[in-house]
Amino acid sequence: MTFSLTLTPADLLLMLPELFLTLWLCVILTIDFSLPRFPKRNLAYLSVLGLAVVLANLIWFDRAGMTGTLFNHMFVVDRMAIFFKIFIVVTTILVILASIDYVKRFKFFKGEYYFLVLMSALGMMFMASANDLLSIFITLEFSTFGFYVLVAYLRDDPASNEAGLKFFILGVFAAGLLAYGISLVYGETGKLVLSDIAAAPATPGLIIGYLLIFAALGFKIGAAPFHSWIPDTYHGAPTPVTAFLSIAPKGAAFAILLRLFFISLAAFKPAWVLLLVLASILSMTYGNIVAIAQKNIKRLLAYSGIAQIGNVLIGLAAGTKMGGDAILFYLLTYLFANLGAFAIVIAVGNLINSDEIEDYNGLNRRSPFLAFAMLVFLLSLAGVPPLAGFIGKLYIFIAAIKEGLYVLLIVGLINVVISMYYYLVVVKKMYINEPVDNSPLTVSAPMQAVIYASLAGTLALGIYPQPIIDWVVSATMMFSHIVAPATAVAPSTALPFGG
Amino acid sequence: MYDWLIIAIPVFPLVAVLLNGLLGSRYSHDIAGRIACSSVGLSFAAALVVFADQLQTGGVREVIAYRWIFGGDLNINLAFLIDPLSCIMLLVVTGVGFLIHLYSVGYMHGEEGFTRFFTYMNLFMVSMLLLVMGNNYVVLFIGWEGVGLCSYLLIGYYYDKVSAAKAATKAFVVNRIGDAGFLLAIFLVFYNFGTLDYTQVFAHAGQLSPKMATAIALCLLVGAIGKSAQLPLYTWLPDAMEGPTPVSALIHAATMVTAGVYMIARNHTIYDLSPAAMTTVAVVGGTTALFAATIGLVQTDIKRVLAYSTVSQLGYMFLGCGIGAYTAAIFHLMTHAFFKALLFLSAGSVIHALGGEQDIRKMGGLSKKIPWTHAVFLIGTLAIAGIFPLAGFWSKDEIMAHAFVHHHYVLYGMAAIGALLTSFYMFRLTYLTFYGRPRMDHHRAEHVHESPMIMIGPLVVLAGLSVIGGFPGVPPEDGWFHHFLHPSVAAGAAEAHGVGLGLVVGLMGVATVIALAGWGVAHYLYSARPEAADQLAARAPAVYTTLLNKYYVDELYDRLFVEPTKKLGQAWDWFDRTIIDGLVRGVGEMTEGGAWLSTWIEKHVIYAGLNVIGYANHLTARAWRKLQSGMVHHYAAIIVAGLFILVHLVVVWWTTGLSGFGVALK
Amino acid sequence: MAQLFFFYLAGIIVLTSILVVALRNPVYSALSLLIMFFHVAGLYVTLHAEFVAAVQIIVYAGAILVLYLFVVMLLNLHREDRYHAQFPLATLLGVTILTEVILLMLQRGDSGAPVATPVIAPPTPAIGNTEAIGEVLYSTYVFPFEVASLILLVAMIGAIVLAKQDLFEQKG
Repeated sequence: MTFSLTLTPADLLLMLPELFLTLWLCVILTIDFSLPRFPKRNLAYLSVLGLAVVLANLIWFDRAGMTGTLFNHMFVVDRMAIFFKIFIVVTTILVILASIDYVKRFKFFKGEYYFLVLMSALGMMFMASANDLLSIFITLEFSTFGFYVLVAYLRDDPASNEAGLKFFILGVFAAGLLAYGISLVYGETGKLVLSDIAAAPATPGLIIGYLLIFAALGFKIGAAPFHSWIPDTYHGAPTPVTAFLSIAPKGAAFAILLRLFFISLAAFKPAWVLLLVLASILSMTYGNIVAIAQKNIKRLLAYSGIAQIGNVLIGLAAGTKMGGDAILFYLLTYLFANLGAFAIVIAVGNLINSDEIEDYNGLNRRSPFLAFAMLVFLLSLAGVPPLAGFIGKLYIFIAAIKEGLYVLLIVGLINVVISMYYYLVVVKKMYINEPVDNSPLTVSAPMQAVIYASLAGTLALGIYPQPIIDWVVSATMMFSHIVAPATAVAPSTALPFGG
Repeated sequence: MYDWLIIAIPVFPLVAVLLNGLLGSRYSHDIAGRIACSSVGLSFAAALVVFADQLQTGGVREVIAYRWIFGGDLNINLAFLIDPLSCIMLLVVTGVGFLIHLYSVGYMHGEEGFTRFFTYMNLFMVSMLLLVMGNNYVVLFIGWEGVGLCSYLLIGYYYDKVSAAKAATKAFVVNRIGDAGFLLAIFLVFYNFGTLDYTQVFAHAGQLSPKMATAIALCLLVGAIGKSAQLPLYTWLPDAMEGPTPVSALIHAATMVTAGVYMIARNHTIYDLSPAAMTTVAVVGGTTALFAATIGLVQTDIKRVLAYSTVSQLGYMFLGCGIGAYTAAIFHLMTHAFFKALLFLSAGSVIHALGGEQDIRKMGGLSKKIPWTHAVFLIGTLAIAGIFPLAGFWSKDEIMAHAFVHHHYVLYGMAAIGALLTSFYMFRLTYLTFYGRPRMDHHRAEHVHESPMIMIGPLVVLAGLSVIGGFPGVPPEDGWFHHFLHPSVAAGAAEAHGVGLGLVVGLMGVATVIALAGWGVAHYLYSARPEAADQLAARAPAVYTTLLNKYYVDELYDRLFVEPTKKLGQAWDWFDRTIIDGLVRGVGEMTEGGAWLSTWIEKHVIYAGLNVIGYANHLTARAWRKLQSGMVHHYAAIIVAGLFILVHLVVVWWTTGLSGFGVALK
Repeated sequence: MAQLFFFYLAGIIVLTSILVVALRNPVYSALSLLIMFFHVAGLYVTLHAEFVAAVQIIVYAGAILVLYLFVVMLLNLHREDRYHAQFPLATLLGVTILTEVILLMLQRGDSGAPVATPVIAPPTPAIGNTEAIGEVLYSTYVFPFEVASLILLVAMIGAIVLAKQDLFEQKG
C-alpha cells in the first residue's frame, strides 16, 4: 500500500492557526465536562485567549508573507485567505465577549455554547482557505452545522426553535443545491480545483452548475432572491448568534465567491456581471424598502443586512481587483458597524428584555453612551462621512463607476437615501421620544469592551483608513492579473488623460 | 509658511468639540460657552491672517493635512485649498459664526443642554470649514454631510417637541436626496478624470464632452438644490425653523444653506461648459426666488417668514450663478449672511423678549419696549429690501443688472417682482412686529424686556456690516470685491464687459423704486389702514389659502413619495410574512376535496378571488398555525423561484448572444 | 445493454423520487425512497463504483431509512397535505426549467460551440475499488476527509445540546 501524501512540517505550519484552534476547542470541551465547577464565564475568556493566539499567529503570517498551498491545491493560504481568517477571528472574539451576559439565559450547556461558536469559526476559517469545490462544500457544511444548533439554543423560546428548524431545513436545501451544482460542474469538467476549472469552455451544464453554486452561496450571504430565511432566523436566534450569523459567514462566503468569480469564472465576466447587477439591485431595494416597515430591531437589522450585502455585491459585479479591494474593505466596515449595533441590541435586550424598536424610546436619557454608540453605528451603516461606512460605500461605488455600471450606481445611491430613513427612525426614537421607564441602564465590562472596540473600528476606518486600505490592496494582489479589464463590456473606462 | 495656521482653522473648533463633548459634564456652562466661543474666535483670527496673506501674495495655496485614502487608483487627501473664493467663505463662516456663538451664550443661557448645544455648533463649524476649505470633492462632501448631520442634531435640539423631531428627520432625508445627486456627480467626475482634486479636474475640464459636462453639472445641481433649499427640494428649510433661533441664523440662513451656491461657484469651470446646465441653474434660482417670496407674503410665524425669505434670496444667488455672475452671487451670499443673520438673531431677540411667542399676529408695538432690537431689525429689513445704500442693495442690484444687461429679460422680470415682494413682506413683518397696537396678551406685554448685552453686541456688529457690507462691491462689476475674487471665478467672457454708466444708474433707480414700492404697499396695508390687509385676503380666499398652505407642496410630496414608499415596505413585509403562505395554502385548501385535477382551474379561479377578499377573516385564525408551520417550505419555494428566474435570464442572455441585455442594463 | 440498464435505473429513480414527494402517506413515501436508494446503488454498480454502491445500501437504505420509518411510526404522523399545496407551482417551475435546459442544449448545438469532451471514467485501477478509495481519501482528499470528521464532532455535540435539554427538563 503506497500513500502519495507528503506533508512536511513546513506545510503543517501553514495550517497552524486551524490546528491550534482545533486543539484549543478540544481543551475547552474537556474542561467544560471534566470540571463542572469551572465558571462558564472563564470558559469565554479562555476561548478569547485561544482566539487571540490564533489572531497573533495570523498577523504574523500576514506580516511575514507566509503563503502556500496544501493537499494538491485544496487548501490555500494566501493574503486573501489570511485577511478573511483575521476577519472571522476578530468577529468571533467580539461575539464571544458580547455573549457573556447573554449566556446566563441558557439553562443548560453554557460551556458548549462557546465550543460551538469556536467550531463555527474554525469552519469558516477553513472556508476562507478552500480552493476546490469539494473543500468548499465540506467546509461550508462544517461551519453551518454549528449555526444550526446555535440558532435553536434557546430551547424555551418557540421563536428560537422555529428559527433553528427553518434555518436547518433551508440550509440543508441550499446544501443540496450546492452539491448538485458542484456535481454538474465536475461532470462537465472533471476537475475540482478552482483554477483548473477556469479553462473549461462554457457548456449549459457548467452554467447551470455555477448558477446552483451561486444560489447556495447567495443563500449563505443572504442576497435576494435567496434571502427568505434571513428575517425569521435572525429574529428568533439568540441575539449574539444573530450578530455572529450576520457577519462572519458572509465574510467567509465572500472569500469563496471572490475565488469562484475572479478565478474560475474570470473568462465569463460579461455574463455574470449582469447576474450580479440584478442580484445587487434586488437585494438593496428589497432590503431597504422592507426594512422601513419593521417594528423589531433584529428584523430591521436583518433587512438592513440584506441591503448591505447588495452593496457588497456591487464590488463583485465590478469584477476588478479594485472591486475586490472594495469588498474586503466594505466587509470590515460592516463588521464593526453591524457588530456594534448588535452589541447594543444585546445590551439593551439583556437590560429591558425586549427587541422592539418602540422600547428604544428615550434610550439617550437612560444611557447616553449606548444611544451615542448606536447613533454612530447606524450612521456608519447609512454611509455618513467621516465614518467607516462612508469610505466603504465610496470605495465600492468608485469601483463600480470605473466599470461604467451606471444603473447599479444610481440604484445604489437611491437606496442610500432610503436606508437613511429607517436608520433615522431608530435614532429619533432613541433621542427624541419619551422613555416609558426612566431608570438608567448600565452596561457590563465585556460588553463595554465590545462596543468600544466597534466604535474604535468604525471611527478609525473612517478617519484614518490608509493602513487598512494598504492591507486590503495587498490582500487581493492575486486578482490583479487574473481579471482582465472589462473593455469588452464598458465602452471605455476613462478618458485618455484619466488616472 | 502659514500651512499650519491653515490647518489650525478647522482644528480649533474640533478641539472645542472634543473638550465639550467628552468633558463638558464636568465643568460649568460658563466654561463650556467660553471654550466654544473662543475656539471659533481663534478660527476667525486665523482666517484673518490667512486672508491678509492672500491679499499680499495672491495665488492658490494647497495644504495637505494628511493622506487619507491612498489605494490603487483611489487617491484622496484631506487637503485644503486657499484661494480668494475660499478666503471669502472662510471670513463669512468664521466671522458670522463667531458673532452667532457670542449671541448664543446669551440666548441659550440656562438651557439644560447648553453644553450639548455648543458641541453641535462647534461640530457644525468644523464641518462647514471643511466644506469651504477642501481641495477635493470628497472633503467637500464630508463637510457637506457633516453640516447636514449637525443641522439634523440642532433642529432636533428640543427633544420634547415632536414637530422638531419630524422636521429634523425631514431635513436630513431631503438633504440625502440631494446628496445622492452630488455623489453621482463625484463618481462621474472620478470616472472621467480619475481624480477628485479640484485643480486637476478643472485643468482638464475642457476635454469633457458637452454631454458629460451637462450630466456632471446637473448632478451637482441636484446636490446644491437639496442643500440650498431650492425648488423642488426646499420644503425642509421652513420646517427646520423648529431649531433654536441661533441655529436658524447660523445654519439655515448664513452658512450651510449657501453651500450649494459655493459649490456651483467652485465648479464654475464645469458649468461654463454646459449652457443647458447654466440655464437650468438660472431658471431654478429665478423660479425659487419668486415662488418662495409669494409664500412669504402671508406667513404668520416670524421665523417662517424669514425662512421663506432665505429660500428666496438663495434663489437670487442661484440666478446669479446661472447667468454667469458668480462674483455677484458670492457677493450676495456674503451680504445676505450679514443681514439675514442679523434678522434671525433680532427675531430671536424678539422671541426672547416675548417669552417664546413667534406668531406675528400676537406682536405689535414693540418698537418702544425693545429699542435696540427694533433698530437693528429695521436696518436688516432695509438691507434685505434693497434700500440704497445698504448691503442688500448693491448685491441684489448687481445680479439683476447682470441679468438685464445679458438679455435675460424674463429672469430679470422674475427677480424684479421677487424684489418687490421681498420688500413688501419684510416691511409687513416689521410693521406687524414693531408698530401698531400691541396684540399680545396682557401677561406677556408686562414682561417684555430688552435682551442682555451679549446678545445686543453681536446684533450691533451685524447691523454695521449690513450697512457697510456692500461697499467692497462698489462700483458694480469693478469694485474691490470683484478684483479680489476674479482669479477664482473668472468666467471667461461672461463676466467682463463694458456697460454704460447711464444704464447702470438707471437699473439702480428701478431697483430703488421697486424696493420703495414694496415698502409703500406694506405701509398702506399694515400701518396706514390695518384693516385693508384682511379685506384683501377675504377678497381672494383661494389665493390666500393656497399661499398660506404653501401651495400644498408638502402634502403633495407626502402623497407622491413618502406614503407610497412606506406602503410598499409594509406591503412587502406583509408579503414576506403572510401572502405567500396564504396563497399557497389557499390553493392547498381547495385541493383537499380530492379529484382536484378535473375542477382545478375553475376552483383555482373562484377560490383565489374569494381568498383575497376573505383573507383578513382568516388571518387571526391562522396566526397560531403560522407560528408552528413556519412557512418553511414556502421560503424554499422562493429560493427555487429566484433560482428559476436566474436560469431563465441566463437562457435569454445565452440565446441573445449575451450582449443585448448588458447594454440595456448599463 | 449498459444503456438499457441506465435508462431502467434512471427511470425508476425519477419515478420513485416523484412518488416520495407526491404520496400523502409518510410511510409510503419512505418506502419509495427505499426503492430509489436501491436503484441509485444499482447505478453506482454500472459505473464500477462497487464500494459506493455498498455504502449506499448499508448507510442510506439500511440505517437512515430505518430511522425515518421509526420516527414516522413512533410519531404516528398522519397524512400531511400542507406540502402538496405547492404542486402546481412546483410543476410549473420544474417543467419550465426542464424546457430551458433542453433549450440551452439545443442552443449550444446550433452555435457550433465545441462540445465538452465527456469525462472518461478513470480506468479501473489494478488494486480493488475499496482500496483505491481508501488511498485517495488519505492522500488527495485528506483535507475534506478530516474536516468531515470535525463535522461529525460538531453534529454529535449539537445533537446532545438540542436533544438532551429536554431530558434535563423532564428530570427537573
